[in-house]
Amino acid sequence: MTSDDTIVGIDLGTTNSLIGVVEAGFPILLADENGSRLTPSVVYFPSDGGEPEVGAAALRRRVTEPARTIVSVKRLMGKRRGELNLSVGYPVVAAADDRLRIKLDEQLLLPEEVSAIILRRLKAIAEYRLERPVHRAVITVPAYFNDAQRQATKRAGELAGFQVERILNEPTAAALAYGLERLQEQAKVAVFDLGGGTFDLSILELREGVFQVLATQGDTQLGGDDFDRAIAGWLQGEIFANEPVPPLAQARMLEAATLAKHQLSAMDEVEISLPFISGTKSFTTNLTRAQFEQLILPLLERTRRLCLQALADARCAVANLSQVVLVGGSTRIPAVRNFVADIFQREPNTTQHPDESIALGAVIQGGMLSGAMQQLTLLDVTPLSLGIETFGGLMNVILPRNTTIPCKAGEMFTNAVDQQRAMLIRFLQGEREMARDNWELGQLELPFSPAPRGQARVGVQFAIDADGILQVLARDTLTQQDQVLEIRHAAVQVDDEKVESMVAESVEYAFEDMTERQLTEARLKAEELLTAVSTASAQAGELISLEQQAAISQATTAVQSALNSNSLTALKAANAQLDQATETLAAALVEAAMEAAMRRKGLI
Amino acid sequence: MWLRVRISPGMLDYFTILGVSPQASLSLDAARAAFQERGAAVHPDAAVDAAEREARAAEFQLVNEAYAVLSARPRRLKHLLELAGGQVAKGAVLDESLMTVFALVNQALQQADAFLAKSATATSALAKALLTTEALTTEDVLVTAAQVLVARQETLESLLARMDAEGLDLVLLQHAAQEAAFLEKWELQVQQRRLRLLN
Repeated sequence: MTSDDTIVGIDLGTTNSLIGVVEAGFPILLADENGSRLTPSVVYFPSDGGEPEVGAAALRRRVTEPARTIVSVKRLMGKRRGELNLSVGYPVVAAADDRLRIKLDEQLLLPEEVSAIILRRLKAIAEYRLERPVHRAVITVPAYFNDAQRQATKRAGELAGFQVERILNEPTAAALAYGLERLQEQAKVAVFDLGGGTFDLSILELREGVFQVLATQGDTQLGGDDFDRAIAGWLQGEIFANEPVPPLAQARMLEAATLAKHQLSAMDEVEISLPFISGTKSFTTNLTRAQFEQLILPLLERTRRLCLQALADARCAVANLSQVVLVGGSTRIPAVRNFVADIFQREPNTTQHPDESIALGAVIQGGMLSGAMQQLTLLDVTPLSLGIETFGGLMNVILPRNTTIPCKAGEMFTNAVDQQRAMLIRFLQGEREMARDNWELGQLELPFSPAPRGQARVGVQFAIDADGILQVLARDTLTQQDQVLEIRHAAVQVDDEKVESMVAESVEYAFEDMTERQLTEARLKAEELLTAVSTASAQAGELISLEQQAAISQATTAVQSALNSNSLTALKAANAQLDQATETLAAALVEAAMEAAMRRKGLI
Repeated sequence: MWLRVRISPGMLDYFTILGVSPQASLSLDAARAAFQERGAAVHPDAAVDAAEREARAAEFQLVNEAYAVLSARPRRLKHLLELAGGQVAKGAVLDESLMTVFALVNQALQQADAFLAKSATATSALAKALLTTEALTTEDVLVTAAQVLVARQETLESLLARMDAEGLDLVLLQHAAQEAAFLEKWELQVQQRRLRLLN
């Protein structure tokens, strides 16, 4: 096979990336010179401006130089101002064009530029192993990625020197890897994909070499990263209480958290040791698996509704699924497996390698497109409804979610007044009724040829291609002219100089804003707690011990006095204390209510 | 009463495109199986050159549309009705029994919305715990509504199967198309509230 025919498959992950190719009819993954198939998705930029380091070497810099070590860049892909819900440990700014950029000295880097460095490294690994250049690639993305996130990923591939042949959904890729050896079976399977930063749940039907995605749901801001942060947040409370945390300590707590999380998949308890974490102060503690599970439970709970929604969308009952296939590094966590077993009422299928399955699927898709593998058919879907804004600010759905791609839909527009030359169309993705609650993909100006009101006719065709990316074609029926329309992203494009000047005022998580907002939030929380305590106090006597009642009343007094003090740290601490003091009471109330309901129904 | 669907000239027949016989009671599984077979046969990815890709893309688009229409009961019945030269009745005239279903569903939805609005403001574990009883009764009310809708759809489904066996009746089909649209809309509304109750 010549190098021009080869199509590599790439899993560009939040935590790790992999590359592979079909050799002699078999999908294989390629290892770097150290024999490792996993390349950490980390780029370190040396302060002397030298060549960026990628992978394991870069990851080691995270603890000493967090601001120059770019991790989890996938979380920033295609994101705009206000769309990032966590602190990544390095400065991220929203420039005047609203797109998030990474600030490195005087430079502002787009996330796709950093991803391109990772992709170039993978390309070099493949070329080193194959001993020939590669130019074409399939790159995977979370199924729930929107248009901008897909475009950014494609752009990253192009910047790295690839011709991007397909943007493939990760759970679909995993289903390909799973189904390749089961081509004779007919089955409905769910793929539960929980990676480093994203969660997807897809339901597929497999039949004689056809893979049809019936429905997909996801959360592009939920993954193992968040589990690390949950542990690190707990550590921070233990070590620093409400004192300020030095940036290096932050990075070290995160590193310790990741390690503890990994160990707790095999052990029931781990020791976390952080020598000299705060000046001369060292810190050692134990974390049990049960404690860890408590910390991540609220995060896991977020997947439940998505799973049930996907089942409903697929019009598939849990009982009709043959398998629930686990992929993604976070599915190694026993609590995740138990959670999946609970939702789907069966033991999940763990035959797939959590880290490698998606990459293998990408390789298989590459082989299918290049002809290096047998022909299978993928019928994938678009995860989000596509629509336009219509009268009254409503979202008018043109292509509903879970429509098989590639797909097209047409719409006819006319002028509302005489001689109107153009109209503005706003494109949206999402499931909400009001246009403003959905994500704005962009807008375009639709040109009309001059005509009296209602006479101009422009047909607009919306097409979602096999990569899940939107294309818009307009045809003026008066002039019979076709035009491919460029969608302008929500904000105006500005030149670099202007971007720089606006950086200072638009730093994400501006400090002052934050305190003000946090104080308001803490006050609301305090008021809610005080009301809840006074409502619940009537029943407290029967449900909890005298000591617990005393603890609640003490914590209540503390919240009341903190409310008057106007101190954010004091109020947050008091709230947390009351929250903790009422934990048993809350659990007892839930139990009592459930019992009463069962008694009412005659079940007990 | 008539036995065969007459196809109005110039109209796409999605049943033929998907390769299934025209039937009101086409099952979801049958629609999916047909889509998988036809979709694989014309998929643009199997093209060897650009010209073939374009031809396949056009064909795939039709098959895709046919699947989207025929796999959803209200759209399928509407299509069947149009093929038969009929139209879905304009304006919502509900018969009495459907009106009863609507009243029940509507009450459940309103109760759920009121509860969801209240629970959206509760952030602490204690405040949430205090709402448990109401959450459980709200869930019960929604489950009852969902069960009524399922039963009603099953009745409709057997009516459609009978129609396929005995021959299409335009007036019956018109009613069925309208009822199917209502039932689906309400089913989605109930389902959406039930999912929101989870958080």
